[in-house]
Amino acid sequence: MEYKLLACPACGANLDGVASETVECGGCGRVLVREAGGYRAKSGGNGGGAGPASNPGVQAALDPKRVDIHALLHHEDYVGAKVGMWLFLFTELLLFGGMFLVYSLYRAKFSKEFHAAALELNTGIGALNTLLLLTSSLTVALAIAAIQKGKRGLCLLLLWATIAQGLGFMVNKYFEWSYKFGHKIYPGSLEMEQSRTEGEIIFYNLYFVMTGLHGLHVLIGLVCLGFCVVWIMKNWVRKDDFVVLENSGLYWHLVDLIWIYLFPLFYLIS
Amino acid sequence: MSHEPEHAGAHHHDPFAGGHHEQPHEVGYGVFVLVWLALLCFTAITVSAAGVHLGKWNVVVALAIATVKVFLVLSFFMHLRYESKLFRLMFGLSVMILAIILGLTFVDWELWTKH
Repeated sequence: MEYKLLACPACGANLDGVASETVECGGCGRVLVREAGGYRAKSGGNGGGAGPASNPGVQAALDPKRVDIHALLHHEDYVGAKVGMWLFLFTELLLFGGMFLVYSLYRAKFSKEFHAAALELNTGIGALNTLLLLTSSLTVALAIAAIQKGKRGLCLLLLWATIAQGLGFMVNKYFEWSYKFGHKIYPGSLEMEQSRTEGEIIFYNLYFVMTGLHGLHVLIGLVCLGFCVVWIMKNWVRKDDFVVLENSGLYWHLVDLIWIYLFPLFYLIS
Repeated sequence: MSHEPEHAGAHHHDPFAGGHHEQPHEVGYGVFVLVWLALLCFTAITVSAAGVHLGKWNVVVALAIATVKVFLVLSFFMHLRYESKLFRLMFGLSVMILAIILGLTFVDWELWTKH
């Protein structure tokens, strides 16, 4: 495999986007000369500090085999970044999977109580939030397609739309939860202990924990997308380097996936 | 199973090769909009199906529709359809682990509650 070396061979500083014949490395101050396939340190180096010829450590770093390692280490590994993100998403899957397990066992035990308690959830708000999350998933997918095509403005617009929908989701959740709190429905509520069956209390505890954890994920996703907006504006995330946006998108879609199961299991069982 | 997108374009790289040009296939906006419309349809179906009394089958129908929706999001929005096999393999593996955890616990639960 041939690696296009766009890093300083001595210190590994990233030189992507540099096009001039000679360049002073931002990492170690050495003067580098462009060659086919990358940069090499200028011989008899007059850059900052000891020149490469007099420094055994740099000599070693200039060894062709070592240079390859540098190139490998400092290259953007697109597939690796996404594999890492997916591995993280699998841990999320297990986290929520465990909760769905608890839900299903209690639902099997208290099916009548679950149905009765679910009657009080507002299906309209649940459906509206489903609509918001599905559409926000669309806009983030479109934003990634847009940045791939180099349409930065469109990408930013779509990301703002995604963030607006995520915030809308949280506002709905706020009203939904406030209404429930107003009716003394919350985990540990004394009124619930006196007036409700065990199954109904378990239903609402699961409802608050699962939608609460999901809401926390929505907030984290919003922060990630917010960073993406800033980084796209600074041109750090761009047409040829957008894995950060892609991974944030993956996270956002995961939030959507979880809601796709939460919605029917809590709002539609009455 | 080899899925090739309609808009694969000229990019077709070995996913394990180095370099930063192995970026995902470009997918047209239209595909995503169609998937979104399908997702909305399935949401409408699941909401109306919940109103029909099917007894125990209500849960089965709801979960089946949710799984179809999840499949659509995973394959299109999350690009699994366009990624290398490695991603589908990893996903399949973790779903299997989850299925084993859920399945064994359900079996255990059945035995405990019946005896």
